[in-house]
Amino acid sequence: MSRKTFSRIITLSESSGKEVDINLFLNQKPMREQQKLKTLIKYIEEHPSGWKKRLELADLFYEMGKWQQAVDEYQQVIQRQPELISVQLKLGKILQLMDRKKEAIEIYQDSLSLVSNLKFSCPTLADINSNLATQYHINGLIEICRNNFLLAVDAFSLATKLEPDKPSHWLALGQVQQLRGNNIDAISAFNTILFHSPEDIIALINIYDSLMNLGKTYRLSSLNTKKTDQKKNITLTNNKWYRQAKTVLDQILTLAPDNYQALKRQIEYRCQMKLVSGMEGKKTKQLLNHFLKLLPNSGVGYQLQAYYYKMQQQSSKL
Amino acid sequence: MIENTNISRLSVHSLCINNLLPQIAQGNRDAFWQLWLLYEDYLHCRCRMWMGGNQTDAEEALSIARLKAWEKLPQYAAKMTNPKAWLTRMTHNLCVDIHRKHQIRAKHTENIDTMAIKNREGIEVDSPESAILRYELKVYIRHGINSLPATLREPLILLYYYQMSYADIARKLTLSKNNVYKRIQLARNYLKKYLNKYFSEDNHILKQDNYRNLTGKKLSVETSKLANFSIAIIKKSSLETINYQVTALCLEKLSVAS
Repeated sequence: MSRKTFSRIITLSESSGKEVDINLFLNQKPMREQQKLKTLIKYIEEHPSGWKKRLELADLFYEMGKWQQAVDEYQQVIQRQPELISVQLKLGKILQLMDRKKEAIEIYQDSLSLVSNLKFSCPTLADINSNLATQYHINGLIEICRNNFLLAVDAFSLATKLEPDKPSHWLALGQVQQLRGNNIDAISAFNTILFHSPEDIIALINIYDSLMNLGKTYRLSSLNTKKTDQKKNITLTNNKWYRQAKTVLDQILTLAPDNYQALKRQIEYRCQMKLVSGMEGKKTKQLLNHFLKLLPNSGVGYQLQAYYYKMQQQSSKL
Repeated sequence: MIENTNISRLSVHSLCINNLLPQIAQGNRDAFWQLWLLYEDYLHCRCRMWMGGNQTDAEEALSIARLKAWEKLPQYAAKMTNPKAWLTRMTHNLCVDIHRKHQIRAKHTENIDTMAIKNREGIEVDSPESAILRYELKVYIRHGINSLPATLREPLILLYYYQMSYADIARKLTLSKNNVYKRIQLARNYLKKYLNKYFSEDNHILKQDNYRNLTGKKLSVETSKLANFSIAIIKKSSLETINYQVTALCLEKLSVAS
């Protein structure tokens, strides 16, 4: 994953009716989506039995954020071509994020049985390790759906041991550690990805998030333990985790200045640092307006706006 | 002087069109010979030029052209407006055909099979030169296979290295059987062209490879690659199941301090 990684925030309706925003990472910026969509739909109407163009259509729906249609198309692809493990895993992840965890588990289990039954003509040790690592990874995904994060950590750890060069295992391990609140372990997993590819935006964003979580915990614990007169000395700038997070954010902004995720985190960071009044406040507002212009109807945009006004109000009271 | 030449050309042209061509169209063979003799010297000169100055080849080409004209001219004479242009074009095409035939013959006498037979014959007394040549050919073929796009390389290796059937390859690569046939055909065509380069001694890559091998710097690496490359391909196609970007999918939320 390089600096060219394109990210997109899509809004999704969960089965409960709640709307959530999802981070989507793509290899490159999608072009002429509507035209592609028309062409693919027309082609599939003419050749309904094929699966390759249907897979392209499903991928297009996925990239456009039309996940319900993407799920329908992926399911049809899997019916026609059950050996496509990568498609099954993608569908499983989509269902998991759509809060349809039972269906996701079923899909993961199907792919697990496929992977475990894979046969090789001349298997090498690397093949066997890779196959086992994939199985552990899928087990980890199943445990996440079941909310067994500890078991998921074990599964992903085993996968990383068997296949240490594969960034997907490290990313999954880091994410689940983040969910468990083990931010130090999460950072260590993401750092392994950076060791292999230092410009990996996804890993950098995750490291930033983990550092911010650590900073928040540190600040809250300091506020609780210190005496009232000492609380005044606990400023945001002397928080070492926030300082490190700022360094990582600067790195992200240098690598991908137009990335939504980077922009969102920049606004968030500036609000957190109370850069909401005067000249700095003006700059934060400009960034916020830019974000809202790019993503006019996203929940994250509204949340950011609300957070900005909240921090502005707080600082004016002071 | 120039005017005279032009007048004589015009008179020959008008003679052909007005008198000879209608007679040839009616099947008069004497008229054909009259017409042919008018242009024979000119065509002979052209043949000599097109056959690279080789007198024998030029005469061969001219005699074939004569026979062809004898056979075909009566059919087209009625519609013909410029017999000289027609004869020149036909003779030129014949010369091109002769060149092609010569090239094919040259390839057939120096293809891989004959080289392999030659090598087998000399297997008992294997000279250092032939060993180098054999190794060179092996490296070149492998280089050719590696330079194929993955879509063509994988089915080719499964077919020839793993000796899998077309149906099995289709199943493994999730392709139709016809698609596998087509890919194998394309891969073969590519390799055929690639080997033609080798036999025409227009191969810079090979020279570089040989240089490295002869100096012994890359020999072991090349040999180990040769043993492993096919396995690596299979592994890549079948095990690339976990997508990094899909793993990165997550819910977006603010992680702000309270």
